Amino acid sequence: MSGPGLLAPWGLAALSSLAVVGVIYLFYQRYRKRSITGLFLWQAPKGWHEGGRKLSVLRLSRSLLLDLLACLLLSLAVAAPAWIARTGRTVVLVLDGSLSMRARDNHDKARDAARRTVASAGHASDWIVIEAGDVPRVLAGLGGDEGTLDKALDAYDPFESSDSLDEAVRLARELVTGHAEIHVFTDRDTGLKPPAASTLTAHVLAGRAPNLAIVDAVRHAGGTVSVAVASFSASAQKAKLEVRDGSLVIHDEGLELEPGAVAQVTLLLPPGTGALDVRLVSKRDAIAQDSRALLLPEPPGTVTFGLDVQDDSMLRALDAAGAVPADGAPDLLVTDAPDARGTVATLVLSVPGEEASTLLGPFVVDMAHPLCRDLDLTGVYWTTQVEGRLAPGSVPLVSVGDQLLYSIAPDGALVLDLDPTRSNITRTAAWPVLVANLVRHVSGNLPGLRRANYRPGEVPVFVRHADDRRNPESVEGEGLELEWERHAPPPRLPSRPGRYRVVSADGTGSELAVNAIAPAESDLRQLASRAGKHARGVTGVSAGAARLHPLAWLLAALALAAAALNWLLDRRKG
Amino acid sequence: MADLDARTIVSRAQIEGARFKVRPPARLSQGPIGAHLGAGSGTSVEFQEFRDYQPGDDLRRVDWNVYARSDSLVVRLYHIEVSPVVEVLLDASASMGLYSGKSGAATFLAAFLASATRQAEGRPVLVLDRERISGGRIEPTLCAVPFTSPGDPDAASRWPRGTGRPLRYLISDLLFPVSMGRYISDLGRDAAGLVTIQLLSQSERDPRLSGGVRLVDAEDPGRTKDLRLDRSVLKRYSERLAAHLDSIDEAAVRARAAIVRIEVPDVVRSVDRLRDLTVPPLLERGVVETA
Repeated sequence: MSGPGLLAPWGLAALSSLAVVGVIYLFYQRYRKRSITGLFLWQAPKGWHEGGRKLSVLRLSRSLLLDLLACLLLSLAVAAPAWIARTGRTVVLVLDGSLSMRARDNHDKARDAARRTVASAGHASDWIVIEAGDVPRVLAGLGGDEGTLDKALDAYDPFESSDSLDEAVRLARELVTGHAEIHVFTDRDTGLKPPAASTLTAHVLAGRAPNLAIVDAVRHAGGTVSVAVASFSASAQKAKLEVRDGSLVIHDEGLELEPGAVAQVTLLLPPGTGALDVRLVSKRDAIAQDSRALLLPEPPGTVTFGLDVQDDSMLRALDAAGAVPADGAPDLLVTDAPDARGTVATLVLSVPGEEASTLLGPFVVDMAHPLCRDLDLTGVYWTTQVEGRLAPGSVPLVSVGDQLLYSIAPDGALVLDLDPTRSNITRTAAWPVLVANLVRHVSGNLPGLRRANYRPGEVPVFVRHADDRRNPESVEGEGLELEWERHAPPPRLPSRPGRYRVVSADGTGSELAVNAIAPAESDLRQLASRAGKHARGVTGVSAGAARLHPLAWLLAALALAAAALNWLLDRRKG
Repeated sequence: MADLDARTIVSRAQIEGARFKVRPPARLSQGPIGAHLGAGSGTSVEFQEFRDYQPGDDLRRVDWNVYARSDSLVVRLYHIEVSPVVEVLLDASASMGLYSGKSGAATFLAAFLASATRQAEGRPVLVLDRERISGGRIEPTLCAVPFTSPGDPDAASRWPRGTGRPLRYLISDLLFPVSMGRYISDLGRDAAGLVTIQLLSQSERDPRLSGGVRLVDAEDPGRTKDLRLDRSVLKRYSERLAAHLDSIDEAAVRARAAIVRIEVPDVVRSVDRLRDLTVPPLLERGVVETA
């Protein structure tokens, strides 16, 4: 990193003025003027050469010393920024990490401006690079070298759905001890204010431009896909929406969008459709990345079941809820054995014996629980055990008095205290509802990724397996690798659009896609229309081309004073 | 300390001059009636000679005792009593103003001589740049002499002259390339007496210059001479200056003029110092005497 200094180009050039002054004086003094009387009395002796010596020693006069002093002070004024840097100047670069920065190549411009800022701060200054996406992210901390800066700026990749400039500035203040010189590079006219003991310069890049974007893209497990396309232009735009399955174009549609209009396209996908590549093609499109979406098939979420009891009504209800009989270990086990367990859930049918009692509602139903959603037990006769009472640690779902009819045991098993053959519940709408809720509950708790398509910065939904070797350890793809700690919450996904793979310890994995869908960022109409630089703060930074530190101004003033003194003394003398 | 103000110099010179009076030559030829005896006949009480009566003579001058003894008409003549006219010629050229010590001394001397002339009941006339100034205008004029006039080698012949034969004082550095014999002779031709006061500054007497110098004539900046000053050049300057001074001395002798040469520092910062530099030489050479 280089900046002005006594050995750097500008400082060196300024120092050379000392030599220039010396040469001027040498020539000037070669025949210095002197008024005399009686010029006729002066005469060169015979054989005397008019030219004299070609070289003579430079005489140190008051005028020469003052001129040299003025030049030296000016040189120091030029080199002053580098001095300041050596005394602990800390520059914080805050780069807007939102998707809109990709318009008009503003992210590249921001990188270049950041490099220039660090260069002008001097080689001895320290710096921090922060990307202000949905959450601020430190790309490089204090103590880095030139290579670190390049890596940090290369890692700057704005795809986030929002910026967090305020938080990033606060973070910058927290990271720096002493005075912080904060530079924010963004495409918005921000109203940022510098924190205490800081100066803040907003480098605003012009981002306003017409844009077309995919603002929503959803692939449903049922085999449909919905795509919403919006126009953020001031005039009507023509575009083509193309949906591909690999190289096969499965849909191609021309769109004409009025300003601000949103077009919704829904497609029914043929069975076995793989990853979909959705592209929006138009002539006037400021951001290419928000005109493309990759939609992977969503996980099916099919529940397998095992049925240890002979109950046709249960079998029919499970089938109606979409569950399928398990070939191996079932996700859901319906059993009357208290100790048997399914891999995900177990429903223990506690069939009462001869000593049973039949209860007639109303029952107390926990309607807020997903297992009881839309469950209406009106008119239901419920045959249950006479001895059944509230069990400590159980979560009641359906109860009457102190009798638990449907509950969650302390070990997580669902306990249904019911004799279906002696109850009319299987002949009411409550029965398929109860079983469907159960299957949906199990489906939602199936291990693995619950969704395959995400937006930038979202947290993946993953249900952990009981077998830890099948649980994810990292997310890889698009040149990135993200660690997925075993006992920590899932990490935020990378914001860079593309295809990623969640890798487990046993080498298995599943795929997910991240798409640059951020309607607020795709709308570039509210961004700054003109580039500019706005400095806010106490001292140290000024907007404009010339950026001089107060010390530099002081040195320049002293240089001017030396020159003025020289002039005054010459005038008085002469 | 700043250079002396001309007003301070003049007022102090007036005071100092009042303690002295100019000393004229043995007999002044003409001049208004005054305290000095003129060469001609006049109305003083000091007897001059007898002369035969001529028609038109004042009968009151007839010595009737001689007529009674010898029966011849003779008249008694008495010396005429004159008041001397003193011309102070002040060289106000730029060379005189090059050093403040020299210009200060010149101003002091001019005011001093004017005051000493009045003390001698004479009539001072300041001659400056072809203008004759007398009476009460002398001192105010001296307070504002710019010393910037261009050099004029023929100044001696062009100076405005009055009637009669005044006592003439020249205050100058006489450092101009003219024949000093002719110059001084011209000045003294119509004067009852000529006193030349030559002022030389220290730098003119002993220049402290070295290295390459473009010498610029103070009275004509267009005239320059580039020289690399070393011992040989300085020695040659001293020789030429000495020869020039000798020519002045020789010319003064021929013209029966008194020459007073005063050397002053380049800068003089007190009037006392000016007085000490200028008055003693005048006293020593009999140019003035204590009143």
